[in-house]
Amino acid sequence: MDNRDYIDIKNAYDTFWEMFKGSQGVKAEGTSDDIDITKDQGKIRVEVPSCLKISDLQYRRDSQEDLFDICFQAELIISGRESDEGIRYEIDKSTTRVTYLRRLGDREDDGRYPAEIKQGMHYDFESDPSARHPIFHVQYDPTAIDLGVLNQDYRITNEDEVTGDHPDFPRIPSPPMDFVGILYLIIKDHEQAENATWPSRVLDLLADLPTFPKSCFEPNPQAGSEMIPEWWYVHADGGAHVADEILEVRCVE
Amino acid sequence: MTAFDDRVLVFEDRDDNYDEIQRPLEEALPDELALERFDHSSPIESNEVLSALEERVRDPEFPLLIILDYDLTVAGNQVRREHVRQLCEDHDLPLCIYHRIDSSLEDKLQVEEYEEDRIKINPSKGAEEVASDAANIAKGFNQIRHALAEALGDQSRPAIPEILDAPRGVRGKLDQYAWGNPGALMGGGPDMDQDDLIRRSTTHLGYWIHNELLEFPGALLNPVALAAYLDVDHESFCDNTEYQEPFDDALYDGPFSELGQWWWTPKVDEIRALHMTDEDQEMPLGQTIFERLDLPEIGPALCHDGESEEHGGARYYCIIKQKPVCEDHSKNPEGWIPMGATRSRISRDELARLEPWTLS
Repeated sequence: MDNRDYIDIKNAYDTFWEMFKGSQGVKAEGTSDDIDITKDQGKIRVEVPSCLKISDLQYRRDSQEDLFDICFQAELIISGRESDEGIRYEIDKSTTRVTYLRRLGDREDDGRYPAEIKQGMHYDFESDPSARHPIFHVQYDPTAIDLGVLNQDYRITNEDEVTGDHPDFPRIPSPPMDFVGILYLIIKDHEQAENATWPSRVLDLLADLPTFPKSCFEPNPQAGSEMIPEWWYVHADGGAHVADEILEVRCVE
Repeated sequence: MTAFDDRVLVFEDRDDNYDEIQRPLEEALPDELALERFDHSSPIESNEVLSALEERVRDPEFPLLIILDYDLTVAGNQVRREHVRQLCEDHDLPLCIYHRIDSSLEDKLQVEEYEEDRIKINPSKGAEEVASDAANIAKGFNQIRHALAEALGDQSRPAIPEILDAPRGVRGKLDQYAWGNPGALMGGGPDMDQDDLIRRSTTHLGYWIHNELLEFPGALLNPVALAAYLDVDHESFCDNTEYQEPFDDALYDGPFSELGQWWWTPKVDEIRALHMTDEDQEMPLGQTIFERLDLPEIGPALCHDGESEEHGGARYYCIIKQKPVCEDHSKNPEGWIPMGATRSRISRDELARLEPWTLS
């Protein structure tokens, strides 16, 4: 990974976020300057140390005034892989931290909004078999984003409640949720989301972004079978696929 | 193309003032543009100034640019500043205003106030500079109208990034500047005449480029903002072209680019990235790059907030002071700065002076 790769990856994320942010119907905050790109032992690290934000989303049909802000931080390690078409950028590691906040009032004198943390989680991509975790998973985590970061924009009113003792288990299998994946989840998952999809202006930019390694999604020979929980642990169980005897009893023909 | 003709029309009521700018302006204008002075002597009925003005200005098309003296009170007829402004507004004509009298009494705020429906020239620089700026503004509008006419001729949507020759990485930011200025968005009603569409688009796109994109650092950086972005002393950087030369490939070359110097931020980043060594984790800042290029040592960017001790890390540009400021001692108050202008801020002391209630 040389300086050209660094620029390509930086441009890909910066442009994607600025164009997504500028899309109709999306109220997004944070700029491409908030995305840090660094070299890290021959790989590229992409990190959002503060947070990016999608605001004013309505989650309850019966209460239009009840709006949520979603803050997220993405952290990725990207490596290069040679292919016939040139270098392909692959995600080696990914953690995406998300916090859902409900604003309780207008901006106060110090410029911050009073708000409650209502939900939080982090999504991991963990390919190391020794961890024995589902390869893609999500964990409940109300303080996934550090309160010090949220305190820049919000006065958190339920700090005691969310900083209590919450277990970090279970690790629930999930789809791959990196910087890109979480944005798709956010634009689909709220009351105003009818027919929501990627804004057309970001569609061709998606091709420039790093992807998860193909090997994460090679379910053969169980292709066509349900993604039963066992599927998510294949990498940790030392095999290339779910054992035939499990598929036989667990999947619909 | 009849959206405009090729005239640059000057409204200047004082002969001596016109004499001062006429020659340098004629010399600076490209051959295809012609200078003309509005006739202030022939009388106009006071109840029909606007219609008479339109008739005289349209000959038979509208001029490419109107240059207006702020004060027309010496004029022999009834034509005054507000009539010219109204005419420009009604017909989407580019307007450039200069003050002949450099009044120190004028409220600083008034001068710095962002105005989207005209371009201002500061006359304190002298007639030669006023003429040179006016000529470059005319050239900018000329460039924009040709680019728009060509794009419309192709039946394709005029693409702002193409007119600006903007790098791909900056497209999203450009859009965000445009949100604050709907006039800059292309298009008219479905029945709009093509010439009217070109005229409207030329005028508003020109205002947008000049008054927002070039004025507020973000997508583009002026020399002080670039020095701040590179975290180096802006005076040394601006005075010595050797510090600027490594960034030549990032220079903006588009409408109004001759009025100053601007660099595309994503291209500056590309150049910074190309200077990375295997040991670098991040893109190097100015001091490191200049050291590697064997250039003389340069100081850091110092914060110009008036209420704090001298300190470095001034990576942003205060749009009031036009000097570097650090993030902690500056703000980006809502509504003051276009959204894409991510390197523009206002120092805390200026903000406290201008609008104390926005500070906590």
